[in-house]
Amino acid sequence: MEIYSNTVTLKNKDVDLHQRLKTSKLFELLQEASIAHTEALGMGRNRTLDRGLLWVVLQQKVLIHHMPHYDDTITVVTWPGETLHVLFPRYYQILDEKGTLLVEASMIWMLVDQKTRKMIFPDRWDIIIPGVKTGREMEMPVHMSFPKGEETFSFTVPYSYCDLNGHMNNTHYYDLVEDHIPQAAEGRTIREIEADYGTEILYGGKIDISLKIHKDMIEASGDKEKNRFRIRIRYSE
Amino acid sequence: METREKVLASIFKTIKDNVPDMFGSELSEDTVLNEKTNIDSMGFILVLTKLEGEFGVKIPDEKWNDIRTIRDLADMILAYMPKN
Repeated sequence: MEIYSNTVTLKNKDVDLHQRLKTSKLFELLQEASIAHTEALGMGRNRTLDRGLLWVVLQQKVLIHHMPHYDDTITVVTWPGETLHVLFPRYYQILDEKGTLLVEASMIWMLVDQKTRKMIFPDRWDIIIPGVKTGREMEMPVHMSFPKGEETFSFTVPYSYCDLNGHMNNTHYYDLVEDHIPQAAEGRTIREIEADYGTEILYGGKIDISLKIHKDMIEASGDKEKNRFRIRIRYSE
Repeated sequence: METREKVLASIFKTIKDNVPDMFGSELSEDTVLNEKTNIDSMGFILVLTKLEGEFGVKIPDEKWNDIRTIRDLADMILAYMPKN
């Protein structure tokens, strides 16, 4: 199965107060597709988690042409790019029932040792994911750097934000950010999201969040001794 | 066969394009990419993997810890470049 796809109908729990797919839920759908495809390719749980290896996402880039709504039936498609020694690029598309492109994304993944939390060399563990070229690949995310914003607050990672890796799941960074900016509740239309995850934040970890809020863009970063994450969200005018 | 100058130019460009704030603004062959063999540094991993892709090189896993400076990286790329 070179390309994976899964069709879902969006339910109440998936959407926000404007009946649009929540940003965190969007990333959850992409993450679930990644996991499912990796399993289907034979590089899932028994080759990774059960051997003490964890899949972690490092960078994300998403272009939203049209955010799906409550009760929409969408198809999430994903395929792997060519492995870059230790990095696993992956591409995504979300299509509506007519096959219209709603969302496209790219992410870079890596495997780490569960105990040391250090990168591993996949060849040494016989973890091979052949890349696929469809011609629909969007550009890969890049490292982001921007000054800290004026609005700052402290945040402690709660139990409900953590996943099986024992750290804050990347989808919840979007809940965290959107709970503290006006654009989300105002129903502003997101056009592009970029994210860069430096170091994980474990359950109970405390970080300092800073926000730079412009009319059509927000930049959020979380730091504690070193940068933990950077997220940039651009909105339509 | 690529020249050392071309490899160095690519290294500088890759760093500036991808991780401009990670290694300082003044890059030279002595610029340290990998403090205390911290190959987990995201900047190091990104730069190395992008350059491997550009030059069609795969630097052996066990050699990553030997790369500390830009000079070391250039030497490694040249050493493992396919001989056409």
